[in-house]
Amino acid sequence: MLRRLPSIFVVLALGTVPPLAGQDASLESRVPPEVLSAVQPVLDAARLDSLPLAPLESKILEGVAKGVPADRIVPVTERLALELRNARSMLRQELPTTPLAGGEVSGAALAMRQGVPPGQLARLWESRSAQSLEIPLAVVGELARRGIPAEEAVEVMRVALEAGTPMSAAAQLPSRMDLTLTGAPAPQAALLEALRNLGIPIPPHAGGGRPGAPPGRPPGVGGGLPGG
Amino acid sequence: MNRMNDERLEAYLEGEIPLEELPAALRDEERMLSDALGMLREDVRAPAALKGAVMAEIARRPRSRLRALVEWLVLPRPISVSPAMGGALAAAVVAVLLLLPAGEPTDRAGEPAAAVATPDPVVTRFVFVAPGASQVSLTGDWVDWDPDGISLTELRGSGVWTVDVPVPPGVHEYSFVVDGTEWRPDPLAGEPVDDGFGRANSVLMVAAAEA
Repeated sequence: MLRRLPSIFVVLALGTVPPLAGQDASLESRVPPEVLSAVQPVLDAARLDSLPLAPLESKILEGVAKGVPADRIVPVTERLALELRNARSMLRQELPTTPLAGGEVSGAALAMRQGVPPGQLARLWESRSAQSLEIPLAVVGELARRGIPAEEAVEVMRVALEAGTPMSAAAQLPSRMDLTLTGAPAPQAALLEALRNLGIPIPPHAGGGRPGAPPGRPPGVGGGLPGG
Repeated sequence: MNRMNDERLEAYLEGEIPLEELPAALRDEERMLSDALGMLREDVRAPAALKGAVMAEIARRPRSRLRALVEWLVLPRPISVSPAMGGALAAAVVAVLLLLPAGEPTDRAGEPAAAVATPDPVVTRFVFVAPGASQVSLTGDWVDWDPDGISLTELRGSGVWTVDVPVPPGVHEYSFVVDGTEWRPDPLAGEPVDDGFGRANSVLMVAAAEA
């Protein structure tokens, strides 16, 4: 029995080592060694922090696919890790007992990059049902990127969540706005038009719009258009 | 040459001038746009056999030694442990935990993807207008930015390229690659985002299929 103890310790120790050697196979097979060694400290720090690794690994693979040199991939990956870390940290301040999914941290980072304050984003959790908030957070960020004030963008998504709006409709909101914006109206007017077209309830003070959910047209034109 | 922003084309699209007032080149442009928009309006349906074909392909792939080892390690099986061995294991676990560095509390962000139920991919149609291109492919984060990407098919030599792709639900970035070298965002997907590398990506939000 005692002779087996060292081997037990070895097995346990191996089981607790961060999976440096168990790196994502696609990273090892596709990323040149010099790039991998340059980004490894960023990934190790993110892993220790329990940050979502998928967006970081994806950004590295994107850089490699686009032929970007290692010395440019590293700072971009570092900046993304910092955004994820900040997003999670600030959301934890607002929502100390709420578990955050990786996709939600990424969505929040995207929205915060567009200037949406974390305190505003946290309001979405008041309206969430069982589903992930990844798409609502990203939609808020995309609306803010198109000139909608953060508070209004959050309110639109809060009302949509509370009304049980299908995520397939909410996800189309930014591209529907773009279709209207080509006619050069104000962003708020484009948002109202997109909300009407998608049958999403209009918050009482959104763009001076009126409350209620007018009958919407079925989803249609967009960029990549999910169907099925 | 990109004439998409031509004022006369915009005036036509706004209904301010009739089609006949456009020069021939712009009329061709308008026809391609109409074709593209028509394709986008079509319902996208996953082939009935898609799921079965994907599962068959997964089942077909040979099991590597590494995978066999991983399965041996993670698949549950009955193990007999004596009380003394159990005590030693518990002591070892405590010792290892005490040696670990303190980190941030783990939440679902730190869980491996396999621990979270993965919703079914949603078949998504992509359309790209590239007259004169000999090859157009699509790549994005859900395929790990595979540089070979997913090939689009040209619609009857029209310069309109299209493909239907299963995409996992979530928020994605993607780009088209024209003739293997030219990275271009999707003009039909709205304002692209900075990729951090001096180029631009398009954003795609895919909601899980509702029950």
